Amino acid sequence: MAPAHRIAGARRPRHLALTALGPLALVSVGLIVGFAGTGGTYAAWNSSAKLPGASISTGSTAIKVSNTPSGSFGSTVSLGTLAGHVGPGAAVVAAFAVKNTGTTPVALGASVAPGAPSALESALRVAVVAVSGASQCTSALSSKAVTPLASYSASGLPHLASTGIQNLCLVLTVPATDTSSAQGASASFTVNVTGTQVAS
Amino acid sequence: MRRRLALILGVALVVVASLGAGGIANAMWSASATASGAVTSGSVGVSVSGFDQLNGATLTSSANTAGPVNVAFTNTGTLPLTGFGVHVTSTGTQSLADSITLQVWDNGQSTACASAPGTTSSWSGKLDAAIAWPSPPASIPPTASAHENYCVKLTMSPVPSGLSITPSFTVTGSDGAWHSGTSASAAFTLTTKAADPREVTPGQIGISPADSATTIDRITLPVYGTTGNENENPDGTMITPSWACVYVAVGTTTSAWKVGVNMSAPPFNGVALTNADLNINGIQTGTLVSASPDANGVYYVHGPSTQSYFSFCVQGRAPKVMSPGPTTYTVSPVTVGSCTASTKLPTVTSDVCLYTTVTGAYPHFEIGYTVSADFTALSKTSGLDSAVSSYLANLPSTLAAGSIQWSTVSSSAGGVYPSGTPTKTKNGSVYTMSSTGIEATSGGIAGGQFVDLKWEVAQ
Repeated sequence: MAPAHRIAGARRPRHLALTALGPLALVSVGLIVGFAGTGGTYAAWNSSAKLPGASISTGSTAIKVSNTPSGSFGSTVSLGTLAGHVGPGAAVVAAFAVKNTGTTPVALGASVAPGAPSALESALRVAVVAVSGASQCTSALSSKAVTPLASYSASGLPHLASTGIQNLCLVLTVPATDTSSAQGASASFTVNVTGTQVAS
Repeated sequence: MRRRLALILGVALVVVASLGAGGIANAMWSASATASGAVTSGSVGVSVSGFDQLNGATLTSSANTAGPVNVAFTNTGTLPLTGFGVHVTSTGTQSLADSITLQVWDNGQSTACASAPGTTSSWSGKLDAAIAWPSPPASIPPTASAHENYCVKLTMSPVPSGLSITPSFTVTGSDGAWHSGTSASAAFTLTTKAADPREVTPGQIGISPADSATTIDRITLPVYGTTGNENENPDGTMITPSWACVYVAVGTTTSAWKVGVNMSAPPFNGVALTNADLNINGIQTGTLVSASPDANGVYYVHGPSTQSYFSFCVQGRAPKVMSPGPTTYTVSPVTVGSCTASTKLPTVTSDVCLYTTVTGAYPHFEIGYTVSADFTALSKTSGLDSAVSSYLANLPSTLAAGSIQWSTVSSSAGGVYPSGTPTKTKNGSVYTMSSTGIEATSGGIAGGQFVDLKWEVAQ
């Protein structure tokens, strides 16, 4: 089939994608430049970008835990078997510390992974509370432990600046009205402490 | 138009791409660390001590209580104790459980029980009832020897004799809804016996301590009297008013004792007390402080701390006449009858007879009694023969009190009509006879006795 003749004087038609390239490039550049000015939140967008005459390196977010604020921090810590016994209205506590070993401030959070299911595990109520020191970690905080282990998510924990250390208090109890009578039992758990980068 | 569409599409692609990239960046910037551990639950435990102090208690009608004794509940668990559940079952004479009242009250950390609960929390109920044991005012901590004291008292009424019961208490400690897995139990045996019928209380006889150093353990009315045979008085009632003998056991003291004896009260009725009366079979068991009584007729007897009792016998007077009442004696309503058959109303010929029964209620010794009849009221008795009614109505105008003949139809041992001449009075249509004024003869009545009286009324 013979090619169609162009109509004299008519503009040569362009493909739709090509038509969009111009504005796309323009907007993309604008966004990149704009995000570059927002700081660390979008550092990943900056990690490979090089601006003329300057360089930007990525930060890091990391936390570690320890039994005591002056102790050795690591990614895990064993609290052992908490001293005392839980029962209706009776609480046990354990103090530990979390340190921001990264370069960015973080918002602390905590959740609890229960061990093997048991009557005691079902009866337990937990809270992770920020305290000013280990001495403030007492059974007087038992009223804050109202949530079952599996569904617990800490709220209200503070932000922690880089290199900062925060004392935390783990509180475990059994409601005074509990009828499980899970006497003389034991239950294990793991507290998962998280640090999520926040703007400084 | 196509250029505008292309522009919008381009912007949209960039925004979507930008947001997607941003989301990935946020997820990457978090870190975590873990703390692991374990927790143990405590246990509830309790031990009980002290119930055994009630073991062997013997209850009588005059000593019908056991305790209070201190019972301690000790925390043997690893959790606080906040309350107790107490259940009791009994072996032996089950019916006794219904007669026994259990009193329980919290006594804190004190082991000394008052005779009755004060303001502390307490519970009282039958021994076979569901026991609501008082909770401690504060939880008992799971520390060594931490405990709560309670006072436990049993009261039995009435007290049958010769029976026994062994209550067994099962105790469960609790912390909220958690309960001790093992229960502590305690049992004891109570027995009952009839009180010594000869035993009286200071309230029944005018003998009481005269100083703060003296106590009286027991007062009995033995008989050293006319025969000297103690069995002469097996039920505690004097056979005759001729002799009144008393044995008084004074409490153990570290000093001399002093006891007041009111000789104006029954059963002595105004007889004087002498040192000779305090000498039984040649043993002077006490001496008079003064040969004369005080203004109230009270003599004082004293003795050294080494003397644990005194006794005396006096030759008495006729029983003192006391007013009728539920604790002294009762008089049945006077009825009108034939003089030969009390159950048949007479058709009057020359006389009619009146009948009544006196029943004694006063314990241990005889008292005098008095009975009355209102002839006018009796003449209006329903169903009475008109001639008899008229006869009784007219008697007060002509019949002197002393003209009525009194006699005994029947009586129980000891309850008799006075053998002498009783006092007779007339006040309008009311005629009264009192069993008094007769020295050394019986005219009294005591608990468990009765006398049927017959009044023969003839003009």
